[in-house]
Amino acid sequence: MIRMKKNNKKLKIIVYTLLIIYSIFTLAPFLWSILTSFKTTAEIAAGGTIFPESWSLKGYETVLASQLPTWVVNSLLVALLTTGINLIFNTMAGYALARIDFKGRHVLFSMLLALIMIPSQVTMIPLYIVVAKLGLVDTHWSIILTTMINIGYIFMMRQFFVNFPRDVEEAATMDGLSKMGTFFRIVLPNAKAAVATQAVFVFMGVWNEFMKPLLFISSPDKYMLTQGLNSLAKAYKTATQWDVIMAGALISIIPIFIIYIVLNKYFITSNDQTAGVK
Amino acid sequence: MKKIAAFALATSLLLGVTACSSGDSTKTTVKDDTITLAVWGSSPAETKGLETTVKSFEKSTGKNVKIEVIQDNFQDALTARFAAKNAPDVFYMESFAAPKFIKSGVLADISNDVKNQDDFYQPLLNSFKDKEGKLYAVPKDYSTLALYVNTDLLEKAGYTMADVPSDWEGLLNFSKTLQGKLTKDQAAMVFDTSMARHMSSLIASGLDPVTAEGKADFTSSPKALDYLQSLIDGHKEGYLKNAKIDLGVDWAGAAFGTNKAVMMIEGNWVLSALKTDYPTVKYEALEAPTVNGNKETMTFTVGYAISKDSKHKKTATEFINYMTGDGQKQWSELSGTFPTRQSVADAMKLDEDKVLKAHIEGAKYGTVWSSGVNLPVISGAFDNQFLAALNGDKTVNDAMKAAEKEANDEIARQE
Amino acid sequence: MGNKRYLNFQGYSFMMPALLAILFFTIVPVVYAFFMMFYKVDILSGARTFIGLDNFRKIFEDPKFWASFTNTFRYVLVVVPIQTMIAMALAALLNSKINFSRGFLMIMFIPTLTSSSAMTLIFMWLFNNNGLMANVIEQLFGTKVEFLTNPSLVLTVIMAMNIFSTVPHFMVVFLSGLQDIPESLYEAASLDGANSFKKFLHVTVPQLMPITFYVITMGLVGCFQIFDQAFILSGGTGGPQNSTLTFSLYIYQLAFTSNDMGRATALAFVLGTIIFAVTYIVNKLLKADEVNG
Repeated sequence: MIRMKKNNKKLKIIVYTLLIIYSIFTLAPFLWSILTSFKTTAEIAAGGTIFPESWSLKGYETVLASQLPTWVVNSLLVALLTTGINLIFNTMAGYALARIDFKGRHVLFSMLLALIMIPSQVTMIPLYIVVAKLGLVDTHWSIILTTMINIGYIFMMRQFFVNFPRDVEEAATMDGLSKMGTFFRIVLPNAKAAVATQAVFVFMGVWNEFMKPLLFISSPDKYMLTQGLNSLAKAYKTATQWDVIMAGALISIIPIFIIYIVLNKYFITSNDQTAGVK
Repeated sequence: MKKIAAFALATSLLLGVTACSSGDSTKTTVKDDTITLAVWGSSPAETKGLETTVKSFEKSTGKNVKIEVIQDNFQDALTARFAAKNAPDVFYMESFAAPKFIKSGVLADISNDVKNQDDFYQPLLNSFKDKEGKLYAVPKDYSTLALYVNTDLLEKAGYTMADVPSDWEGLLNFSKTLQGKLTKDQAAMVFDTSMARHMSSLIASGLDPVTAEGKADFTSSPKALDYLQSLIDGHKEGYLKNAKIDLGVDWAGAAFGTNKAVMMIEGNWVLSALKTDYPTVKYEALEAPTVNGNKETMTFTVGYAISKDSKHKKTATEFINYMTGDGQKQWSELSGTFPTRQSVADAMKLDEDKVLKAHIEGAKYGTVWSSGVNLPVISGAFDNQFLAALNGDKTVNDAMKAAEKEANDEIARQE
Repeated sequence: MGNKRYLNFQGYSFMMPALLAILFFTIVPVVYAFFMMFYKVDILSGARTFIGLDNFRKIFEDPKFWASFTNTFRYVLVVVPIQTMIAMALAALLNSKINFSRGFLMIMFIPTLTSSSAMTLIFMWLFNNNGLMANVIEQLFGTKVEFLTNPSLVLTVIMAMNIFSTVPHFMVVFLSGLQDIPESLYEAASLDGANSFKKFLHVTVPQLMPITFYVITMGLVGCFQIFDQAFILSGGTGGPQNSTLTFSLYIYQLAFTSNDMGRATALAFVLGTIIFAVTYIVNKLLKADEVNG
């Protein structure tokens, strides 16, 4: 018993060392971005300094003096709505593909996979044509409708549900719940980790979407946040204003970070529960 | 979890209503006599200049202009809008991309609509004409390259502006000696690796990279190869450095502004960046160096074009005539760009400023960055292969042979 | 029989909202693109002429196609296995009942949040010829390594950049997969005397198989379609000497530099077929189907 514990201790030290090294490795660029956001473009271009020579707020001032509040509201509206729709419909589709034995589901699944394998460079223009035909150009609906479903996350949810314990569902069916009922009352609440993961990814994807807003939205008061920030940073044709980029990037991370912190508890659940038992 | 789902759904529905109402509001604002103008994002001065001049136009004519700013990937976005038959009435058109649009037949022929065409700098106007001489866009402003010298660094090294040679060969020798007095992370001169910056030097060396048939030619002139070789040699010995590859900054102006480079050959677009981002750097500008005794520089121009399917062609024509005519002085003064009309340039007395004079003089002999529909393919092949010569993998001769073949094969595939 | 019909009805009603959206906003554009590949298309004016399979002939005789083919395959071969393994290992470590696991998770997720422009700037600063990496190597080994001009190294820099920013993404996916593994399986393994490593190999890895299938497939798709980093680092040229020319960059060049939308779509479908075939083969080799139900 004592030897086992010693082994465990050694193992733990290795685990911690690995995790700490990797954390430092990943934290460095982020900290560097924060420090950089307080430098002037000249200092950033000169390089060589870690801490700002004099803390400059110009980047933040430029960002805050713009139509930032409007863009944040636009992005929040679109991202929240899109995330809501994605969560429900992707999860339903993923569940059906994994758990409902309907005719043609294997063919359907392969077809969906095939669709994500066509690179977007050639479907962007046809997609714009569809959006224009539907009269959605320069409306937020163009982004919401074209991102309301994500085949990649349907696929992800399918893979999660493949391993989902069958007994829970069967009990529900016994109790006379329909498939829809089982899904919303039993399956969804038990797939928190997967749904939370999807929520973070979908939100992040919409929040950082670059090409679609660029093509679909042209009025500054309807810009999405990334598009607006880009317009500030690219003010000079060849010269990028790095302080504005960095400040903008950090400001735009905040909402994702909040959502991430809120959902974080679903990512590692079993760990804490068992820790409590111990 | 239920709460989250319920919350998500509730906000979705709520937001759906607001997003919907905001979507409808645009349709009412567009009136019949309103034209749309698509531009790319530019400096605060240019943005202000555009907005003010457009307002003057609206005031003097009673017509409306809706400005749409496409921040990035302008060509891609414009292409998509043409494909969807949703093109703006008027839009910015780079001389480099113009032949493609002209060939596709999507631009309105404005040969007989633009007033007083003789007043324009003719090379600028010509870059928007097709082979028959029909005009498809009217230049709104232009830029040329000039030699910028960081006078602080120059004096620290013990030289004055009078020591800076005006010919390419002399400039190279000067850079070589100058580099000996600089540190390793400084460059006597920064240089660019793309064909857009060197086409005029190649022409001055007796080589037109685009032949009369629109094919690529990089090898027919030994003098041109010598010119390219001089870049390779300078890079190897370290007195010519590339901003991105060697100095780790995103463009030459940043290297210049942070005292990492004594000289650079750049366009007048650096002026606004130098003023806002690097206000402490002291500099002067000279005309771009002569190559083989020939005066040369590159000219870049942007014009206004009208979509062939525009429903407001009359207003659109009126608009571009105003912007490049009565309104040009206002636009140029506010934006800090160079007027394309000789008369406006004279009225603004731009050549009284020494830095600006170096650029303005260039407009008289500069090569406009535009040469038929195949130029993007030809310059793409050059940019790809020239780097191979730069890192020593291929000799200049071999690299240029490869570029020529790459471009001509691709051109053949397109026919 | 009635039950079967009921299942069909259920299945399609669950799929319906997704299928409708996919029909309008994915299938219609894809079908539109599909027909373009048999034509010579002027995308600006919409003019087109039918040329059959000529676009494919042009693609296969183009040395640039083969350059992008080699680059992309090299890229996939290196990046996909490495990022999958690192992501899985980190997820397992985070899930191994350690303290502060949420803190670690929070920190490790950050690269995914850092903007790509910041990332590009950092990598440029690290790898340029006068940058940190080049200088350190020069001081240690006395040789000057030029990362950005050397065709054989510049792709490696892009690989590193991609692994660095993709690992946290897949790590989180693995982690939520780990939450679904019943604790009883580990207890049973403990009773059999398995140590932590054996438990990982015999319980975690097989249980994660469906998720691994997802991560590998999406990794393959993402890597085969790599565009941003190659575009930024080469300024869109794919140079030096086509060494950063990837499939997607080449498609982009054909569509927007060469104005040849027909050939660009033809290449896109060639790429789609390649990705599909590779995914199929990889998953046959990993026997992922057996656990996929």
